[in-house]
Amino acid sequence: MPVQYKDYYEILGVPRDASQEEIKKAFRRLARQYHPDVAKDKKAAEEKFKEINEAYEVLSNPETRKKYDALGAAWKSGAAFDQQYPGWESRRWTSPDGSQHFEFHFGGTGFSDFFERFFGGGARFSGFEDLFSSFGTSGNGAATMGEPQTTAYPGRRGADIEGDIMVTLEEAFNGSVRTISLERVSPETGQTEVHTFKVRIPPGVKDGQLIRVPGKGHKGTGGGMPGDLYLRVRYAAHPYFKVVDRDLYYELDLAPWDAVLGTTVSIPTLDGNVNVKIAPGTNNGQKLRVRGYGLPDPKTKERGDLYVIVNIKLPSTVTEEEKKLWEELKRVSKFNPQED
Amino acid sequence: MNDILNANHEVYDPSGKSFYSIEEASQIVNVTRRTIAIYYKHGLISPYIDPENEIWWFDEEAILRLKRIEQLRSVYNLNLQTLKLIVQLMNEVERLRKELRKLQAL
Repeated sequence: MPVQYKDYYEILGVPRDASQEEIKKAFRRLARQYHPDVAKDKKAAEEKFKEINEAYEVLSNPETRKKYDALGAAWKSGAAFDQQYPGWESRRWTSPDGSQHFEFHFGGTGFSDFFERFFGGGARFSGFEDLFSSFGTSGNGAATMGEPQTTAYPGRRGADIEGDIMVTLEEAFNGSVRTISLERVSPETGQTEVHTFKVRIPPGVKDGQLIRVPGKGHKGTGGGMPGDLYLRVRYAAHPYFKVVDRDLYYELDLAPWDAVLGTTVSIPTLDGNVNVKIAPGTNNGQKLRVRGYGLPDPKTKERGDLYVIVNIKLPSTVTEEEKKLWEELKRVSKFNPQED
Repeated sequence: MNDILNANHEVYDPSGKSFYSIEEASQIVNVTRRTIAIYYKHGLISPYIDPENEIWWFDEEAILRLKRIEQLRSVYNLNLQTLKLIVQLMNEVERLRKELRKLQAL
């Protein structure tokens, strides 16, 4: 089960020396194109959308981008790579407590094996990962606690497995059912086993929330219970909205005359487009609240708000006629921004 | 075809369950209630405590925290001071990661 290298630059269609701004622009353009809500072939678009998101997640952060670039260089010169990331090719490893662990692969989380390995939840506590993946109750630590440790179950409990699950805003809004497959090598037979099951993503699920799937971790030994699978929800970046708690933020580009004269614009929401009135004299950066168009609270069902942030844009080129009109405006206007 | 096959797979639904009692936590993590109380006393975990009846509640995050502490303690024989330090560092890493993700968002 080798991990496939992912070329994130190619996925976003940007050169390796692209600026952060270019990466952001490429992501936005592709995310709009492949957004599952607008694309015709929803299934294929969703795959692509998640792939774009994964690439953006890594490349949008200068730190992870640096790590990715170093990885790419090492990848090509095989040997150096093994030295730099020891044990990465091995299919099994041994924890300090002597228990054996076997490589596993996820399917259906929206993240690739490559991401999981180097940038995902498994790497959450880099360097500690073997430690945390080897949960067991050996009960030999009693001395440090000054009390005898009795465990409720015999045998050794199986290790937990941690991973990330990419959830689109639309899924967080409506809820969904995801099919997860877990591929692993059985310690007894050495054969690859695939376990497939479904996990319901509840509406209103939060970014960072943990979903525990009991008994889907590694098998226990000596009659011990199996470990659990932990999936940490990570919102996919949305081409239009930024999320803060239950509120959504949408940046609205506006022509200067629309800001001065006022207008009505149609803006996207998770419930479809709505018309928003822009009052005359609306300023740059002004925040307009569209009440109740945010994400729902899973318990109370109460929804957050959608904030429209006004971003006044100036034309980059002007025609002769426009230039005359601006000059005319300059002549008659008493507006002085320094005094205002 | 895949969808038809998948139709028979079990569905795990987490929406009904978000908080666990100390009895449930003790069962899931496989430690005694007393150990959990000791961890609490030393500030390693902070369950939600109902002010009216003093009942403790644990969310998934707290359960995972308990498992990690238990792991460190049982495998590495760490004492409470060291555990406390590691827990603080883990919290800080999680907090910074969260912050970073916020800044990274468009």
